[in-house]
Amino acid sequence: MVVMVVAEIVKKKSNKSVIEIRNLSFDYKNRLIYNNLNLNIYKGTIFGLLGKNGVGKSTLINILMGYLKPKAGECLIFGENSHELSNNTKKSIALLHEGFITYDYMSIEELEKFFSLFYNNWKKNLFYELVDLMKLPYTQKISTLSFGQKSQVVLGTIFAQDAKLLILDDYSMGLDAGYRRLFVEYLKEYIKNRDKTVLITSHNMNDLENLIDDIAIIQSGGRVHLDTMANFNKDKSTTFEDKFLDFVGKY
Amino acid sequence: MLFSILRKEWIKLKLYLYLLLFLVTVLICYFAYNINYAFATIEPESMLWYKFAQLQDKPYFTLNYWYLVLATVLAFAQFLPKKVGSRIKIMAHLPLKMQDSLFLHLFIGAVFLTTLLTILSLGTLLTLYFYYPLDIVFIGLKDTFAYSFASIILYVGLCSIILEKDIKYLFLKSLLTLGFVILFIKQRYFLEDISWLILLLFMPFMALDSFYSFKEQRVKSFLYKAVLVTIIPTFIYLLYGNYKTNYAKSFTNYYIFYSNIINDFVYQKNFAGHRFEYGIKNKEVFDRKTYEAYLPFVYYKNLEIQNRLPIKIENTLFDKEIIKSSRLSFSYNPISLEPQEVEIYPLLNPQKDKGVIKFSEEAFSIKSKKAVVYEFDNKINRDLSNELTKKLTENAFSYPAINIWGKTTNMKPFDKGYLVQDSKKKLFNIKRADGIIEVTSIKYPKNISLAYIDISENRQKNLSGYAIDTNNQFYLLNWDFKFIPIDTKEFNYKTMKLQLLSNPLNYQIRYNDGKNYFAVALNSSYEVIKTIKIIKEK
Repeated sequence: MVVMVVAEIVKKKSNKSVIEIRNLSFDYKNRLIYNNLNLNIYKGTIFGLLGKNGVGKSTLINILMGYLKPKAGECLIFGENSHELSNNTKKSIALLHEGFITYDYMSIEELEKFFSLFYNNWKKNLFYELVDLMKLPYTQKISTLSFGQKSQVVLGTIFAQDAKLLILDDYSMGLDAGYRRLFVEYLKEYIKNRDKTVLITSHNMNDLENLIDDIAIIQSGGRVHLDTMANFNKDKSTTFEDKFLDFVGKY
Repeated sequence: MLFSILRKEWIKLKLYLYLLLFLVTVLICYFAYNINYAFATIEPESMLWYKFAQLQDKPYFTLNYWYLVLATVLAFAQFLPKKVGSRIKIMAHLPLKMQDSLFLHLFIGAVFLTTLLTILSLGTLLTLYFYYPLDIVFIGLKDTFAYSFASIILYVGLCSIILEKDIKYLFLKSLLTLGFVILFIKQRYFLEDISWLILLLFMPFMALDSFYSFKEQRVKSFLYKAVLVTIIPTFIYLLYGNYKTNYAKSFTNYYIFYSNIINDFVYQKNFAGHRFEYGIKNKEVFDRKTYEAYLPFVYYKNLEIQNRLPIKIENTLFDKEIIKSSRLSFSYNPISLEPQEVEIYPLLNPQKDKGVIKFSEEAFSIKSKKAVVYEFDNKINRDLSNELTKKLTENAFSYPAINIWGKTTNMKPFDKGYLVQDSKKKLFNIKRADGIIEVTSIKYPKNISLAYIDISENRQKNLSGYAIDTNNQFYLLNWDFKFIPIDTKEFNYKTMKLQLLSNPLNYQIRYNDGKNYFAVALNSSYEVIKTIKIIKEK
């Protein structure tokens, strides 16, 4: 298998890395996912991790959160090994699990109360601002909400943590176009004027076009293309999604 | 944090807990109903005390499976949806140390479980209290505590199985958890079972190891690994021993009889599967017909069918009645050395004008400073308690009793009562007849230490049983409990089974440890006339 090499993206506005991936290699038995990946995500960046389904986007998130161990290399988050994150660092990372996994058996207010006790900077108002948009009783069980409604409740818990880093794993999964757009709009609104770093993964390109600063396009076989959004999208004659599909189609 | 996780777990599990509480209530009611029914339909009620004390028939024993069911339901309800729904990732990402997060979850689950177990145990014990003497209620307390302990260990073990990602570790942890259940669930618990408490310290770390597996990590502690490496072979060894004791087929390899026809021992060698060899050691092998012909007192029914009775042996004629009335059998098994779990004994009361001994309404127990006689209606029969205590005191009995031997059933022609050894190793006979309690001092050979006595009342009224001392000396007891030493060479009471048989001409004692088979033939004066030893072939 041919291995690609990655170029380092240099950020001009800040060079302080929140996430550093060094010489990362990972495979599932004989299926290569990453080979010698190097990647820095800088403070204040909105970083898009893009790729078709099944190429390894969630794998990278799982490695970053310590659920999977790299075969080689290392991942640092806020300078700590992703396998040994301290409690303070965990508090600094708001993590959206793929599929909006949460405690479905709780009511909206029970969920809020539960998480609020773990985070010092918990912003209760941010949680309820999102929830109130749906005009739902706080006593309603999460399991009885539609998937779109649930996604907003989960997003509320992410925002309320007031974390420095947001890792949003495949936010678009299971959401219709309306809720996807809402999700991105809320996210944009939230990060505006807040010094947040965001790592977002998706296989849906259009929603992210005006959101992300830097991209990594992951392709099967361990190839990763790193670029700035501005550079990748500079040709305005085609849409971002077409460029993405063209790019992916080359391989 | 604790409160927050407690709230979360309560919300998740409350429906299960309500259902389990309902189940526990049903179990208690059903148990109480069954006990009430059993006592209402039996006469006298003390028969059920006898079943508990002498036959180890514990009415609550099957409840132990429900203790395990509670643990299983709770473990699966708490952790399976977490794993299947990947919510374990949320648990792992909470800003808590992983061990704190898991131990808090386990602690809360264990508190819920313990609450249910306590309710079930209290319901069981309260029911027992109304129907059984306190001695038995305390055994119930010990047993329900053991069941609760098993339940908690199973709960933690199942949590570690559910959380484990690696199939190899899953297998090992399943082996340990199920192995524990197989080894620990039993009729009776002993002081040494306290050593199982070590699992209570180890199991949470096994569960933590499983939780770490979600982050492809393991518990790195040397102590944990050392305990794991020690426990696995220990469990395999114990499970094998458990299988051998409880399930492996064992059989006697040699049946040896003394033949009054040839004045020698004949044997039947058992190859299992109904294959036998018959013969005389180092002399000859013969067929079954010859073998039976050599043992007319054993196979006298064949002779009767063949109209060959009475039979003439040593110039004496023996008919069916003589042979039948001469037959006697005492048997000994080293497991008899194990003292009763609860020292309550039926206080039989044969009546001289009645042929059948009625099972007694009362049962006695000798405490540290007095004797107590229980009865169902008034719990304690004060008059009989005082009478028995007084008679023991008059005979200079030293409390407490260290051994009580006797045949506790009423299915016997006579009642010789009990032989009781006091704390100064003096021996007393306690019995009741026609409503009068008698306590008499019994002499036995000086400078011996009694290991076991068996009383076996029989119509011959010649021998009343046997005794064994700690030097492996075997004694027959005459009807007045006089000790008659018998020369049983190489007998070891800790490892060998023994059987005494009699016929109109001889006594025969045979004993074996499964490898060495011995037999001693005695004349009617208990003198050895012949011995044999057969070593099992490999």
